[in-house]
Amino acid sequence: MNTSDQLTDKLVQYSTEKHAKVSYVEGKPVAIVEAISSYIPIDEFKKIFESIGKLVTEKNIKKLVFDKRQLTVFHQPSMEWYFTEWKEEMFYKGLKTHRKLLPDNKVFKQSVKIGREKIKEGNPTLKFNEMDIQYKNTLQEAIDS
Amino acid sequence: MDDIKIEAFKSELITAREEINSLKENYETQIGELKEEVSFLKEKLTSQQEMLNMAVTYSNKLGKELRVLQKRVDSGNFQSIH
Repeated sequence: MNTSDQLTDKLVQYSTEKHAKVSYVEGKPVAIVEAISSYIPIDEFKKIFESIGKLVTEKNIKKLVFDKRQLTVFHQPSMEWYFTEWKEEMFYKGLKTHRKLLPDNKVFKQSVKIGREKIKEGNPTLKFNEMDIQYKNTLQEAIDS
Repeated sequence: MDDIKIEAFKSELITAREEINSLKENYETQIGELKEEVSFLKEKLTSQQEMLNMAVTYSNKLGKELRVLQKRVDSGNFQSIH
């Protein structure tokens, strides 16, 4: 968690990998995945999200907050898998709300935007077009909105 | 006397072998960690390069669109949406 984040909610740690960690909010159907290094290799990325898939089923998670503030490198193939496979599967499990925290890095932000548009163009019928996806500035804001 | 010397030598040999094995294990662990780090850095750098290429391609595309728009404005064949 970013040191500037003051949370009113209590987070429960679920799993920790080398480049990311997963937690959920006590008493709320919200999970949080936080990047803890500048880049997450695709194999670990998939492993983390597969573990979140289990958490979604176990805790009936409805919202996922993806805290990318530590990231400096964006990986399009990871994003494609995340959008076209993982998010689709989660949609049918009831996870339809996504909140994201981006780093203060213009190239990264722009790359996310371009990458997302590319995926949308190539996959117009996928469910992620029907999801509630918003960008927030703080973790608490992302949990509450 | 000779027996004592042989036993001492054997014991020394065993200790030396154990040390070699321990060093070997240690080096193998370090090499494994280094390989993992190199692989991580390689993937990160490749992704960084792809990310920058994507940003440059997008910026070139925007540049082209701006030049087309500029031409239309200059030719007077431009209808403002306002």
